Amino acid sequence: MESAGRDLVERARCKDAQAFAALIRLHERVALSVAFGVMGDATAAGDVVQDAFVRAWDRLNDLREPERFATWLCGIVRNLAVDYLRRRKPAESLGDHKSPVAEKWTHDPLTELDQRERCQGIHAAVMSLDEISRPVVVLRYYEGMASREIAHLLELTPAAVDMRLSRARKQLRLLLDDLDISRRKPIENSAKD
Amino acid sequence: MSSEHDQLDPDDSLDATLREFFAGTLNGQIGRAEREFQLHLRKQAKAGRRQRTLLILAFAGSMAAMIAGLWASPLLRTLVPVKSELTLGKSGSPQTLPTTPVSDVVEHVTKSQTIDEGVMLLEGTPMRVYRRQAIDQVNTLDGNDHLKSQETTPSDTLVFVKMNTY
Repeated sequence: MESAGRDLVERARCKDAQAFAALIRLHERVALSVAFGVMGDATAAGDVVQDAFVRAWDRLNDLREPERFATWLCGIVRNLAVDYLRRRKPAESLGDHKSPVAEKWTHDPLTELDQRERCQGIHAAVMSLDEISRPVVVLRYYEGMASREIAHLLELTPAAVDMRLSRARKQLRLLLDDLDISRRKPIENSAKD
Repeated sequence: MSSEHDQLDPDDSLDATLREFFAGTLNGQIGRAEREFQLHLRKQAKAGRRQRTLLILAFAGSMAAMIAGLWASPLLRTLVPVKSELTLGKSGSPQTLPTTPVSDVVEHVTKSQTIDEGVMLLEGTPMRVYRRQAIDQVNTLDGNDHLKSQETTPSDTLVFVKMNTY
């Protein structure tokens, strides 16, 4: 896969748009994970990722080592995400998103409300992590990456990734256990009624 | 290098919850980057076409300006003021030219005569025929090179005037 990625980068450097489109498909989830990890807002992360890929296309000749495309791209994504957050008006809230999970499940208002609260709870729990641990957690659980790959992308050591994952899981478990208890109450009450 | 978290327990509800949450939150954004990239390519192509059009227009404009300049240069040359006194004419009689700017056409003489050639029938219609003979003589002077030239154009024209019959 790495050699295929390298080949795609080399072709994209020669302004092969199809090769670059293939690179986008290959790395879009990783880029989204990093952007969401920094920003905590899926739509804004999507905005940043699309800008990052366009910037990468325009500046592809600045990339010295084609095999490090993903790391280089993640750097662009991080910088753009930080710039975006800096520019964003203070009134806009990071957690002001509507999760598609809540939208797709049911039309039952009670269950829908329950799901929305649950999503907001998980989102708040993830956002309570520090800014280095957040991308680590998103890359692990969204992209299913191994610690070594995460370390390579975020320029950390695998041990540091493991340590951050371990701490993040403990923190999330604590927060989400509370959420699970509170979430069941309205359903049980409504069943009794 | 193996690590503690590379193999997660699939039954772990926390892991499942997080996977489900991230997939539900981020999957909707997949594909946007590629669409934006294709749009960017189209914009670039459009901008390139516009730039080429502007270049062609600029080139055509400069060519037109150059041709206009070449066309106008003899006219511009004639507007150069003549400072010295010059003589004209074949007979040797001196004529003094003013020192103000002059055109290269310094004299234009037309001599003509009209002769009544009488009446003739043209396809059964009576016509009066007039012959007009003229000589156009143009004297020119190049202000820079002090070169004189004379152009004589003779012309002979027949004019048919229809006569009303009663």
